[in-house]
Amino acid sequence: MENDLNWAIGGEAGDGIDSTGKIFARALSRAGRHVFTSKDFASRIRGGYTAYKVRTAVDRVESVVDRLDILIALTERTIDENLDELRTGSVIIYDGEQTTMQDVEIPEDMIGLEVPLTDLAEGAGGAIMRNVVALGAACEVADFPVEYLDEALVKRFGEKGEAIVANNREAARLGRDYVHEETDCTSQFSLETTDEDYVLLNGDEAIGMAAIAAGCRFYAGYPITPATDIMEYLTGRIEAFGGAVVQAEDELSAINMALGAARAGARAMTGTSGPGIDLMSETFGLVATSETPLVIANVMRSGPSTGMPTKQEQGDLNAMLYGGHGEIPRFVLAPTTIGECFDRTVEAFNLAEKYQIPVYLTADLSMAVTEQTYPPERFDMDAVEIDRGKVVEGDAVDEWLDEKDRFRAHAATEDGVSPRALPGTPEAAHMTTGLEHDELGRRTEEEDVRVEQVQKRQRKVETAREREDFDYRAFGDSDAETLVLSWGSNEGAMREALEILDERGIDVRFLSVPYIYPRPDLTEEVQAAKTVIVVECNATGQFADLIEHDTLTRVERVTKYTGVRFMADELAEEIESAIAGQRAPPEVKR
Amino acid sequence: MSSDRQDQDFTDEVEHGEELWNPGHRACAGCGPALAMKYITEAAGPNTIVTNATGCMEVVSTPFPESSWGTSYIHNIFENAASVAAGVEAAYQSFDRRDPDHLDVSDEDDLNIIAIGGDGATADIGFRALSGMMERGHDVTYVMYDNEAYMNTGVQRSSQTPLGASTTTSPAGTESIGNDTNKKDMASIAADHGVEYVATASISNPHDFKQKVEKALEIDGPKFLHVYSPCPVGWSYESSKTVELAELAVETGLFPVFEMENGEITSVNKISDRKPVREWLETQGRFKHLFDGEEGEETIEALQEWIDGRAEDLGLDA
Repeated sequence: MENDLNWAIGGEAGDGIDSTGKIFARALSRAGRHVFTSKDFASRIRGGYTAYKVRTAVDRVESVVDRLDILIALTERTIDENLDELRTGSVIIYDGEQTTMQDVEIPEDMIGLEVPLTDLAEGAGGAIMRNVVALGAACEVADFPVEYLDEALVKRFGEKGEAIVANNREAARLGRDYVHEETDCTSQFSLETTDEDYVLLNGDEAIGMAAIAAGCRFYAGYPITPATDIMEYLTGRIEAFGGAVVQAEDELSAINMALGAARAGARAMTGTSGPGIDLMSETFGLVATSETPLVIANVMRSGPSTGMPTKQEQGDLNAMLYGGHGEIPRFVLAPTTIGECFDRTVEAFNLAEKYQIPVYLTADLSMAVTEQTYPPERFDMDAVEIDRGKVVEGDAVDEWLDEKDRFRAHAATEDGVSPRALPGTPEAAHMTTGLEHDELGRRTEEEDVRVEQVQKRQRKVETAREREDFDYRAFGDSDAETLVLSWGSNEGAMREALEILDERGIDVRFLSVPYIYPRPDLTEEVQAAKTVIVVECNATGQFADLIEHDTLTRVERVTKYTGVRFMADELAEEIESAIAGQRAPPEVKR
Repeated sequence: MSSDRQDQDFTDEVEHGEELWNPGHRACAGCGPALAMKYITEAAGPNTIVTNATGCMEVVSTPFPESSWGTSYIHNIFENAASVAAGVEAAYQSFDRRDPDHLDVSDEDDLNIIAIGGDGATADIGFRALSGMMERGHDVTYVMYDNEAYMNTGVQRSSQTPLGASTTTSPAGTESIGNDTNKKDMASIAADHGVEYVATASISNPHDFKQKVEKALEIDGPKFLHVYSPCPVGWSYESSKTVELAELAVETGLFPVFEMENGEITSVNKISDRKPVREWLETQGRFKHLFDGEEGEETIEALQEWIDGRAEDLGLDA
């Protein structure tokens, strides 16, 4: 009996695929099972193929795999789209009575399970519940108690009243009973449950939760896929902590409002995706020059321009590292898992205030649309430390006044970080400008002052490099000849790829790097390896460029820019070929 | 299957016929804006260049490998439909001067340039581009289709979202009555730019809307049209009710239909026995919470007062 399950529901956008998948994922997490979800989708509007995939096991799962055990197919196309992932014995649940599904051909070695979804749903109170009937049927196939759906159904339909919840519960049971009584489908699964009660969240939600925990009290943003979930998470929650979310009229306004709030003394944040980063880049320079602490979340999607708004890419690395004219000191953090989105967000706020600098916090679409389970204690709010840096008040202000009692807000200190006086601090009023300025904030073009201020601002990056722990996480065999490096959400798939490679007798050392700038010096690690492979979701190998630049060593590039994230088995193949030196360009999966 | 789709040439299968906004687009059942597109293209005819901001109408009309557009069409970034249209128009003006046989922008039989954006793309992020285009006096007809929120990204509020509406970024709850602002008056803003012809219309009256598009295209210089077009998904109502709700918005005065020429109101579609806005609010899920308690009641009253004030200013009541 299989205890691990790969499950999916697919149909047209607008068919309720997303909410149905979420009900199942939630039920599994409440049953103490780990869950990793993924979505294939085009847009929120009806039309176009959409699927929600759930991978579940008792042990943690960190990626999607190229395999489906149970597929609920609401359209014929759903089956075609997933042919590569369906295996011998996979169960396809569909409504054969639906006119568009009457001629569906189920591949010979698979099990087609015809369930009259719409008819049964009507029996429970309405055709609209056909997805829930299908869920009940899938529970029976997976030998997973349908009762676990109940709580998730309350969460989804509770607002609509008890009757609706009861109807949905009934619908799920009708689906289960139909499979049990009317078909000869016997389950090859036995999904074990545990006493754990996991939280299920996506990367945007982890960022939003961490922002509140880290004392962020102002967020300004503009709707954009796939970053909107951060704003939606904070809206309605941050108020209880004395904070505010403001929806701007565009990204120019969003970052400038966040700048204003930060100047006013709040921990502030804005969030967007690539097109918004482009609009924000002018103010990004002002944030750095005025030495304003600000966190800018960039949840990457396929670019350039409108690109593929609902598809995965890690193509903004150069934009974040080099975007904006002139030389702008900055930090770039890139959490590699949903859980780490929480940690790096907290750190981003501390770094922003300790160094009075803009901090890019970047996730990618794969993390934003994936939900994963964690034990609640993974996110320990009490352990969150808030360091606001060199904020001065009271007598401490005196130390930073010049001979005419003016506050030296941009004093060129040894570590590059000046004292920070929040508005309202007596004796510490000062001006701020995007023009080059002296230590009092007065505009200047004097050569020595210009040089002093440029150096002081850049010095903050060097100070951070010395004081902070910008390290990587290591996996695999530390003595292996092959070194794999990656950033962002590839970590999960890469860790599973390590297991696959291990089974094939290939030893690999894998370093996952969450700090892009400043970043760990990898010279030693790179030079100790025979083959160095950099894995990332873009066409040119932007992170690979950095590694070559840092270490003066040529690396192999494993890139993917189809709009779909890496899968573990695919990565294992790529790495094996790269080691063999015969790597072909990645095949486009259609 | 998807590889087959990529190889297949769908263009042969589609009968374009006389249609310039072709069926088969991916809009939801009961989509108000899709009707607006149909009426705009019917009124404008084939010699039209459409510049379209990112949004529902762009997404649904351009799924690979198909297009619903029988006119020339360019999609641009979210905030730039007015700027791109201005550039197209300036280029054609310059072509006209060099080549007398070239299509003439100022002759409405020759060439129409129409910029289309949703309420977010127009009244929020595209506002400065719109202002620049109107102020510089480009011969462009701008049409804002108003479905009162960002629907493509999943129902976030815009500056056209009415008071009290629950959206994902103005959710109703114990601390909130939903959106806490009234609709921004885009018609007056356009008129104040010195735009010669400004009009509002509703998809519930296609004849009126199409006449206004035709009239706009006959006038040189910038024109601004605001067309009301309900969204069943974002507003939460039965998709067969779109036209009915658009009409009810007019009948309650929530969306007044009028024309402004050279800054003056020149015609108003008068309403006899204007219905209370409550009747319109009751039809949609996004206002459901307003009927739950005292605060909701106050919000309904506040919205009614705002409508009454505008009705008086416009002379809306027959």
